[in-house]
Amino acid sequence: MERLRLPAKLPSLTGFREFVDRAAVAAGAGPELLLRIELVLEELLVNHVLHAYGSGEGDSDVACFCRAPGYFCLEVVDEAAPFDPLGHAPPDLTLAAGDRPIGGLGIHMVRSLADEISYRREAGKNVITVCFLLAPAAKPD
Amino acid sequence: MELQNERRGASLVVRVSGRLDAVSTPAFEAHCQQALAQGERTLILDFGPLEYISSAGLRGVLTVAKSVDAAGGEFTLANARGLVREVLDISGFLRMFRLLDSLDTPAAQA
Repeated sequence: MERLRLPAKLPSLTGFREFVDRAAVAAGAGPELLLRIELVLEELLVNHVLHAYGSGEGDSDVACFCRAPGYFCLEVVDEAAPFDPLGHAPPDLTLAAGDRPIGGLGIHMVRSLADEISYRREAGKNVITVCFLLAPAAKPD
Repeated sequence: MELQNERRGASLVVRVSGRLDAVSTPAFEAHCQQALAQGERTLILDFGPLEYISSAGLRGVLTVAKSVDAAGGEFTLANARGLVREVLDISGFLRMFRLLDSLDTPAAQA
């Protein structure tokens, strides 16, 4: 499993993206899926930058692996206080622009764009695993 | 990300290219706020050449839309495609804002 650890700061996003792109392309991801994977990665990392460590500092840790042939997964890890992003209600998408709170969309997008997502607390770490089908099967009618 | 202004009648079209993400969105917001400060009231964001937008980018779009609204102006999106269109849909933005499929429509010339 390939792994990269960098400070949980915005300038680290590019390094993480290049790392994940290389692994995803090697696994067989095409350009469209690559953008989806990048988007999910950004949402999870920005969450670390904005929320995980409060005003303190910490690292983000990202690992890439194929759980099965054609099934590419990312593990995104922080060492902050326990936080299960899947335990929060989705945002109200029916509000008009003026009534919309700014924010709360990131995890909703992750849930919508990844084929599988799970959270676990392990050895003082928050571990989010997201997986993508490299070649989605045709949807049955 | 690249930004390009084009005037269409009373409308200012801002063409957004590349990636609207957590890193580039502050520059996008500053660009649009400057246009508002210079008196623009009818703003069309042309997402034709945009390939990527994250929730940070959506927040930027929402902030700009609220500013346009507060100034009594009109805010419109145009030409979103691929993942960008899907993200606008998932996030409910397609229900909040008008999305033009072309700039060559009467609505865009208004």
